[in-house]
Amino acid sequence: MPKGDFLGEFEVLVLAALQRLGHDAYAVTIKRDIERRAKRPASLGAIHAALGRLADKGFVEFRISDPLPVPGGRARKYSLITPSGTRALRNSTAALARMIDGLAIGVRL
Amino acid sequence: MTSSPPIVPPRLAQLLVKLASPADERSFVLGDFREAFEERAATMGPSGARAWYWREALRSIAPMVKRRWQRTRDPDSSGPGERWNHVLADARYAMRLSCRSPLASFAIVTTMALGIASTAAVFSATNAVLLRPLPFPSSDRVVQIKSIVPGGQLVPTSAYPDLMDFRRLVPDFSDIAVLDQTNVTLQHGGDPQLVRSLQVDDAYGRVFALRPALGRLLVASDTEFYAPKVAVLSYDFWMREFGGDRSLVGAPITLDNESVQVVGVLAPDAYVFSNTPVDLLTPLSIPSNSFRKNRGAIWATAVARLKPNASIEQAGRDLAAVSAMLQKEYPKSNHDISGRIEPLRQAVVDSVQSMLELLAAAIAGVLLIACVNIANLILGRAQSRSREFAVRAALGGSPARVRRQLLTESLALASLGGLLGILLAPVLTHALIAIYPGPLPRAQEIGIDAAVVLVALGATIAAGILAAIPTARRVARLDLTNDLRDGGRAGSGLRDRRVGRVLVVTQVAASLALLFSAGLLMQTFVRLERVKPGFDSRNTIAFRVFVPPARYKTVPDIERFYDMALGSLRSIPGVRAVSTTTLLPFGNCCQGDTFIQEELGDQGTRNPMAMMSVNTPEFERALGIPLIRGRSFVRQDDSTSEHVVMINEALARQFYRGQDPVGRSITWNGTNHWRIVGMLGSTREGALSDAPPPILYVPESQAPRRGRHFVVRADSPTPQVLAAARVALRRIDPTIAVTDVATMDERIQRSLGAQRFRAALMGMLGALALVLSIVGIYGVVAYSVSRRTREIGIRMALGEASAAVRRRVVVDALRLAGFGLVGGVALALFCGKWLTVFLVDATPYDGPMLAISTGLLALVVIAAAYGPARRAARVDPISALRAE
Repeated sequence: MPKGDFLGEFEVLVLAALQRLGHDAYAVTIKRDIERRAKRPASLGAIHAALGRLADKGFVEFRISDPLPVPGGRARKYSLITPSGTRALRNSTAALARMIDGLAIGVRL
Repeated sequence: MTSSPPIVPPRLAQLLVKLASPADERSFVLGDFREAFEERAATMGPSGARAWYWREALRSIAPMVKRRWQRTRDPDSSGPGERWNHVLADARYAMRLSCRSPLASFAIVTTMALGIASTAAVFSATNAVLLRPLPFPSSDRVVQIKSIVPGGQLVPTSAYPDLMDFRRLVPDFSDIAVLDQTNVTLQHGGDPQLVRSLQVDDAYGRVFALRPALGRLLVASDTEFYAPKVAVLSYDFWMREFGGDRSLVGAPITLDNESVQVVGVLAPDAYVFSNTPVDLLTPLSIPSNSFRKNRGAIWATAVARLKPNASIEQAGRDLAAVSAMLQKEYPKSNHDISGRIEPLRQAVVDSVQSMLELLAAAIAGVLLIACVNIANLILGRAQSRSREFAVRAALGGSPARVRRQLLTESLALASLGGLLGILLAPVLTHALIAIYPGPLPRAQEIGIDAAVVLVALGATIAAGILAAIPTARRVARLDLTNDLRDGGRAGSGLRDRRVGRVLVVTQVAASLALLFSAGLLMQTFVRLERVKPGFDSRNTIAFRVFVPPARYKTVPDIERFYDMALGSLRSIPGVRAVSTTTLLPFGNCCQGDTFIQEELGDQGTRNPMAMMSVNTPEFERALGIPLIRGRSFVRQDDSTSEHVVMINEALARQFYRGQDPVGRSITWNGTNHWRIVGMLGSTREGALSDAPPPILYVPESQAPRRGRHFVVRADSPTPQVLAAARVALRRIDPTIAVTDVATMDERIQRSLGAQRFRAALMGMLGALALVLSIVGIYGVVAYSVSRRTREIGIRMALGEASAAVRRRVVVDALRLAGFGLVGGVALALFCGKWLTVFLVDATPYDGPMLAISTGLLALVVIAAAYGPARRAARVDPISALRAE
């Protein structure tokens, strides 16, 4: 398995958020999802940087929306997880699960 | 829904995010930030949301910058990283090249450094004086109130009662401050000294948003006539004179022999509005019987602060309306008098605006010429590298890449020069302030700041690009076959020379314009120096004395002091004549007044006006003014005898056209029957360029004055005469300060300071332009001769005489310069139009001057071309042909 298929911790969180949010994933919603569920801060800059890295690896694709239908409305850059992104997420989390399986650290998967 | 104003994210934090984010994602990142910010604003309120934005921005910087860094280093992406490496390589290459031709590089860097340093110096002055707002809160809302007097003249003062009416009736002003500049004698430490005092009312502190560093400012009760005397010191004066002694506040100092309590010290950065630096503020209190309360007395300087919602235009209209009302109400005093406002900044810098603009234009011209020289040098160097460029092109190097390299080279050298220039700029700035004639308003604000550095950098980059353009254009038209074969020698000569030609033409045109302007200004200066002032300025010294009322209470007291002083000055060996006067020519002090010609009767505001000069007998002998008719004052003209006056020729010519004024009577100062007993020659008073004003001379004994200038004519105005005069006065009263000491010659020279400055400066710049042009023209001609060696060799082999070769090179150069001269004449005439304000008795369309400048420049072209021409004539046909 090539090394590039493994993900950093923050990248796992971002990909998981993408998987859940589906077509409504852009930095603001991703941030909200990570902060709510993972209970850890995620800065917009870090999310954008992570998305860029994931896109370089082919795990994420971008779609630019039409400008929002309000005066001065902006276009959003939506992110979509690719099939290889889904695979990478699965590999990483499975590896993690296997590693902590049976450890007495108070986490149950 | 509430319609509260939109809440905006903190600007600086936004800027940080913008700078940190990659260019292609910037708008999305900022949009996301904005969206999240607005969500927070709805829940946390504006301040919470702003704090959140800051936190979020600061946390985002590191990951975004790291991501950008990774992208630029990533070898897969052909991004900015690669380009940056090219730039670095180009810069290294440029430096290596420069070291190989150190002389040319040195010339480029030095020219650039001087050009940028002078640009920075002039811009720092222009910026501080003309462009930046005055340094106090909302200074753009402060205006000066001026008056238009009968005859349409604009004067910077107003009548005090009118100002009080404006204060009451014009709705746009929140405050009007009245001020008046006076000098007082400070008795402290050794010799008494004259200090500059500004009398102000309590509104002054509010208009200029003054703060005390210690104690308090002046308040309304201080300005009442019988209030205890108080003063507020300027910070500098407090430090200089009293060493920053904090216990001084509340303590008394002695001003004009009176005890005055110091109530405060201004903050160090306090803005004090005045033509000259001010040492202390004292309350302006006007006794009810003073002439200053008359509506006709237009003496008060006034500044006003506009209310927050008022506009300058509206205030101007309202002021005019109130003035019209006052004209109707007081037809006798206010006929044809109207108030006018002017933004204070304009009032402060008006006098120097055109001067600084002239300076900026001249410097820009010199910088342009310097750029042309640099372009020339780079072009010359690039042409000897034709083969290198051709090889690169043949190997597939794109012209764009070569151009970029040339640009980098040019910019690298320019930046080096620019950097040195910025380091040099403070020195030049100080020099500029030091040699500026008279006080330069806001001089203390001039300095090298971020804006100046930015402009200098901009000028550096612009010059670097400008200098690279000719070479880059040349590279774009590489002729591979020729360049590869001939390498460093050939290239298509005609085209090469065309670029050089354009450079020479530009240079000659700019130099001609500068020379012509310099010539006009010098001509004005020389003409003014020859103007006769109307008196004999040789061997005459003058100084001012003021006798304070606390010590000299009555008129006899004053008279006694001056009589004793005149007597002891007269007894100094070598002194020929001594007098006192209130109107010293070139003494920067004057007082005008109206009088009534008794045969014409009172004409209200149309009464004739003259400068007032109150003198003791012998005045015209001390100053060397010719007595034209009648008699001068004598000792017998005293307070008990008939009232007499003298007039000058200018007054006679203006108000007694074709009649004999001697023997006629006037009414002056509310007294009838002053008989004109004599007429003196006209004298110039303020500037040699101004026509002599009408002057009314009054004998001192019939209108005593406290402050006067002594005029002492001696066999030679040696320092010993002055020293003896000081001793004599000190013996009479050691508390009297002797100030404004200068010979009459010095005073006249000082009045020419502005003209001398302009002439010297433009002369210097013109000379610099000339030298730069010589270098430039020499370079182009020498280069073209070296390229034509073979042609010249063939011609000489075919029998052309060396004299003919020489002539042809020079004529070629002249023909080329001819285009520049034609363009230069047009440019010079354009500049001349602009110079009109500085010229005296001269038109900017000065044919002879234009001919002289053109001829001079033509001579310079010949001189510059002669060296290469001689070299061309010495070409040995055989070796020239063999070398090819």
